[in-house]
Amino acid sequence: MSVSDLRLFEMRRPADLPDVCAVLAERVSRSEPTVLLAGGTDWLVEQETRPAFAKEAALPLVLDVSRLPALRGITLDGDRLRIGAAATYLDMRRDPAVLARAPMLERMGRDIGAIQIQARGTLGGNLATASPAADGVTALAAYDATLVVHSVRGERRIPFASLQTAYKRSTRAADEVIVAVEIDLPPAGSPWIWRKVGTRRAQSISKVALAGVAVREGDRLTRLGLGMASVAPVTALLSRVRTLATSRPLRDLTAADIDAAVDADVSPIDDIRSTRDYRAHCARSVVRAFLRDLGAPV
Amino acid sequence: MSASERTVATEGTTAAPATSHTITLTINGAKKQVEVAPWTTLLDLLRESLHLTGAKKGCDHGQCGACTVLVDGKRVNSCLTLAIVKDGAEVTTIEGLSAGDALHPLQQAFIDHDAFQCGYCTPGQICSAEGLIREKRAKTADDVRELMSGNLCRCGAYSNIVAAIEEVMGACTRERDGRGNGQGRHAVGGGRGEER
Amino acid sequence: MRGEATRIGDGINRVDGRAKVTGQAKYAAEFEAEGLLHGWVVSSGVAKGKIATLDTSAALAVEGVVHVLTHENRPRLAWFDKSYRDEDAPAGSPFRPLYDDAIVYSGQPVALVVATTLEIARHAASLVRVTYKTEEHETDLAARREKARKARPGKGGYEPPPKPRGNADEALAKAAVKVDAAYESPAEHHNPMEMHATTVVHEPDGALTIYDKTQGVTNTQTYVSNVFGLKPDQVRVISPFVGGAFGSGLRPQYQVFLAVMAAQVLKRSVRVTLTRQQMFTFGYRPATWQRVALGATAEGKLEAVVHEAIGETSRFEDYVEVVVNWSGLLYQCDNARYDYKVAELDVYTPLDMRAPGAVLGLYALESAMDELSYALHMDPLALRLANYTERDQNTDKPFSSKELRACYAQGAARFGWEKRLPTPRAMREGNKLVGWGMATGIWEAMQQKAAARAVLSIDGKLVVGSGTSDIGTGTYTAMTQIAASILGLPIADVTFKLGDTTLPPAPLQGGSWTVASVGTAVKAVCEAVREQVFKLAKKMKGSPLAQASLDEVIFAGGEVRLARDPAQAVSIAAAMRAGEAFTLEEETSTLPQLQEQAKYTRATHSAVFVEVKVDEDLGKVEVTRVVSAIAGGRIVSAKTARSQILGAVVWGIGMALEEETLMDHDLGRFMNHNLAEYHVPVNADVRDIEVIFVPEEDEVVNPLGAKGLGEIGIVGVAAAIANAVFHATGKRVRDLPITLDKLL
Repeated sequence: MSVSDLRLFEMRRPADLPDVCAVLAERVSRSEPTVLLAGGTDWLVEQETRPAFAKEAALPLVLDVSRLPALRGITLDGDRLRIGAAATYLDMRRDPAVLARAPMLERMGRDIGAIQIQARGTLGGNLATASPAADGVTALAAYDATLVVHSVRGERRIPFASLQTAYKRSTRAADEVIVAVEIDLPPAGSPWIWRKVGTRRAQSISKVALAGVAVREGDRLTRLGLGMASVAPVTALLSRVRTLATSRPLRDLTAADIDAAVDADVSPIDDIRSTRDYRAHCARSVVRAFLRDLGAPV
Repeated sequence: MSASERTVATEGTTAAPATSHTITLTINGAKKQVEVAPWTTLLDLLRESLHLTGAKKGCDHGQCGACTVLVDGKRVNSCLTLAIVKDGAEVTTIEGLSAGDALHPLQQAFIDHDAFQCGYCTPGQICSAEGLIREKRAKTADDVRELMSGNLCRCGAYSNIVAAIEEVMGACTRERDGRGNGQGRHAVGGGRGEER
Repeated sequence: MRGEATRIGDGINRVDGRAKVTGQAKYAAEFEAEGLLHGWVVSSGVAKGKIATLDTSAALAVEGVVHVLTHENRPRLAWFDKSYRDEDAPAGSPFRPLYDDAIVYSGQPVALVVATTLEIARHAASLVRVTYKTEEHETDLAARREKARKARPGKGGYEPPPKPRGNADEALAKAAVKVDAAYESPAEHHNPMEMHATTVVHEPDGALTIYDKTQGVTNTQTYVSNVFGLKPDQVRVISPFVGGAFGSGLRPQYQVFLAVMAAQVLKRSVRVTLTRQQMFTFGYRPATWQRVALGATAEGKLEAVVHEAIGETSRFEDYVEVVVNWSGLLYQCDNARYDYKVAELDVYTPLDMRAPGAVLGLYALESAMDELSYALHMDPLALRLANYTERDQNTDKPFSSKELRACYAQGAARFGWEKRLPTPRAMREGNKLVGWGMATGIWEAMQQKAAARAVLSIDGKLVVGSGTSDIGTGTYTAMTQIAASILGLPIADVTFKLGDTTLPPAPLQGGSWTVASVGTAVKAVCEAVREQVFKLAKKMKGSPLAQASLDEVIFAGGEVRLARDPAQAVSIAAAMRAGEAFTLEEETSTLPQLQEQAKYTRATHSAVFVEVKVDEDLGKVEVTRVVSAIAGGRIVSAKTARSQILGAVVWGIGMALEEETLMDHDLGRFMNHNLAEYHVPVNADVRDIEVIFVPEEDEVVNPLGAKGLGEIGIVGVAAAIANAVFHATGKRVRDLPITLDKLL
């Protein structure tokens, strides 16, 4: 029995990055649905729960970018870590440079689904899906990572702070391919935190997750990066907390000030995964815990 | 995960290409050419076309691990894997783990420790455990628990599953160290003792 | 072990283990048939109303689609409700799939797309367009509690609450110490790993061979015969392996109905497999509200027990379960009052789920007992011992056996309960609060009518069969072990067959009664064979057993031996040869000894001890240690028995901390209908679990003395965890599951 008449989508494995950019540009200009598929851990699930293409006139094209060399690989150049968009979480967890210089990423990767998902899921996919619950995006926020995207117009770099605009919306153009993320690393051995709160000890979707990296000189923080999942329509950068904690000596930080800054930075909601109040409590609690570890008397 | 751009076409469509693709897979040691649609998952290919029903469908969403098989030696959720993407790969399912009548050590350990009840998640658990052992990352029972958490067992056989895997893991480590280093056996045994 | 006989009680490996670890065990969706078609169910998106339009044209236009079944084109079906009633049906009017345009719950099947491949069926199902004329629905138990009413009995095994004794409300008012609290528990879904599936093979003569996921092949056979007007002998139901059920397979679910209907209409073989989402569109453990009020003397003697419960049910059936009755049965108390009601909602009928009723009632009762212990400044275990009863006061009968005291003692000793500091928040480990809690469990020990057949061949191979099932419980293993022990055969020479309507009938596999019921039949039928063998052995020329009686011989190693001088023996093969019997066959049906049993209350008991560690900042709870001490009568198969309890404890952990099917009351629809958001425990959630079986002799429950273990392991676990959480944190959570947010 042939299923050739079913035609749910067509699939192609592009030769290289310029090929992806060219195909994408052409299809986007014609408003034809196109999907870049790496791990497929989200997209394949959506296909069953929401037969998105059933109503669409054009046959969707899926570009399998999972093996594209330009999108893979993890490299360390000085203090700059570059992670290919199609590198999997497992690649990341096992990478010596990540283990040595960005241990928070390794720790975060452990909490992504389970090992089978870590072997498929990618940071690029996490960024493209742009869910405010995405753990990988949260970690990148804390590192103030930069997105490297390519299109027929060439390369563009998007600082994390100007990436997300609204729930699942970003400043990346429809024809731009996420190629890599780049992180300017803090010195080796700098303090960090990854705290994910879920219902069970694995395979949980975050009720709240906090990623943090810091550089401390004496009693002051010279760099503080934070990202928090599931407390706002986009990944929360906790800018008020950052400003507060870097503006004065750690010993002058008070729990009340921190809590007030957190409250101003987040806007959690009630949903099936948690309550607003619990999320707000957790947000305060994990931020305080990180600053306490850094030396704040809170 | 994917970058997705969804816009409804207003007019015209791309010329429809043929949607059936021929791919080559080595399944349990045998090279096979199979025709698949782009959307055929590896799990559906195994179960529906090749009648290898050892890999189970428990959710079809990568949330339960019952479909775990080894692709190029690594454990994957076959329900989330499009077969076409794995063109050229080597696939090992539960049917290919044992050699003839001789059970794979994990299969025997699962029986000995009663590491299953209904048996439905079992092929996935065993393939996942084989992947885990090959990864050589798990050192403690807690590691095993964490690294086996992608495989749900609704019957709740988890503690027996951990015991079965630890037994085989111990045997593998001893074997490996025994070959490389005459002293290894003692050192590893002591290490494992402390972990418990 | 080959050559050695196995005894009842030994811990042997699961006899179906090899099939399961090699992927050879075949489940309902894995049987092949010539020209098999695949069905895909289209589910209703609204909770209540009528189907306004149903457009199947786009689906039918897809090449490979053979048919789309709907209420508009369905064949004629049985007219009366009784044709749709199955062995586990509660009172009311059973749901009829695709019967008419009425929508009575969200997720109700409204069409079945039948196609040549699974993928075509799935795709075409997405093209079926249904519009609804919706009506107001009500799905919130809390909002409907005031409208709750007395439940109609009628469901098998259901006992309405006993009449009150003494005057509980008055005694409560006067009691020196009292607790009075409401407890809530959410809907939970069974979620066996295998999704419900049926493969119907349309045989050339029109008969049907149905591979179904079921806990009782006879139940499916009767249902299909009645609904579709077929003779039972035209309907063979087979179910050799079931990928978990926990109650979900007690009633024929709609996939079997739809698969049979399609096969009948198309005269083709059809398979229907539900999706994980659709696993949330039939039975579940009902959301339940309970009130428990306990009054006691200052010394801790119970003076009043009031237990009231309201469970949800559908508009069309009264699902009932025994929630409250246990409270006046478990402890000595002269004043007890019970109440049990149901509230109708626009949902599907709930369904028995592991330890139905008891697991809820004991959660509330044992939480309340814990609360009472703190009010009394008394150790929780001491409080239970102070109110220990040797008689069931509900019925004023003694227990056939009750080794609960031994459960308490052995469980406490193994756990180290005496080291517990009584005050909440007193125990810590690093930055974590440590809590120790305990609870009691109880479940009925039941026996049903069952039949079995045994055939012994001259080569020493024994084949025993009964139409029961093995949903992972270990039926294959336990029955093989019973049969082997009676005829003194090695396990490898005994085959047990189940899950086939051509075998002698057995009851549904549920209620923990399979070993008691089917095991008794297997024992009886093997004893009958044994007697035949003995007669042949005696009759042999020069038999050393010529003067012996049956109770003077033992069967071992394939021989009949004189007990006092085992060297005096006749091999089974020789006896059969001499008697020119190539096979010996027996079929027996066994009934419970109702008159004798009626003199007693028969129950399994347990004591559960739990340690939790709670992260104070975030409220994360880990169950780090569980000791479960069980009094379950005689243990038939030690290894599988232990696994039953281990698994049930994991269920208890899920119930206490994770499991909850959340309803969006605006839409009247379950929201978290997948395994990512309906949380069942993962491997990392489960740590040390110890199981103790305390010795317990019982000659009343059944000739094996086995009480059954499927349910008892979960009963009490949620309360023990809730109590441990209170001990750790000082926070009493009275609505399950105890999620992190409730601990702040």
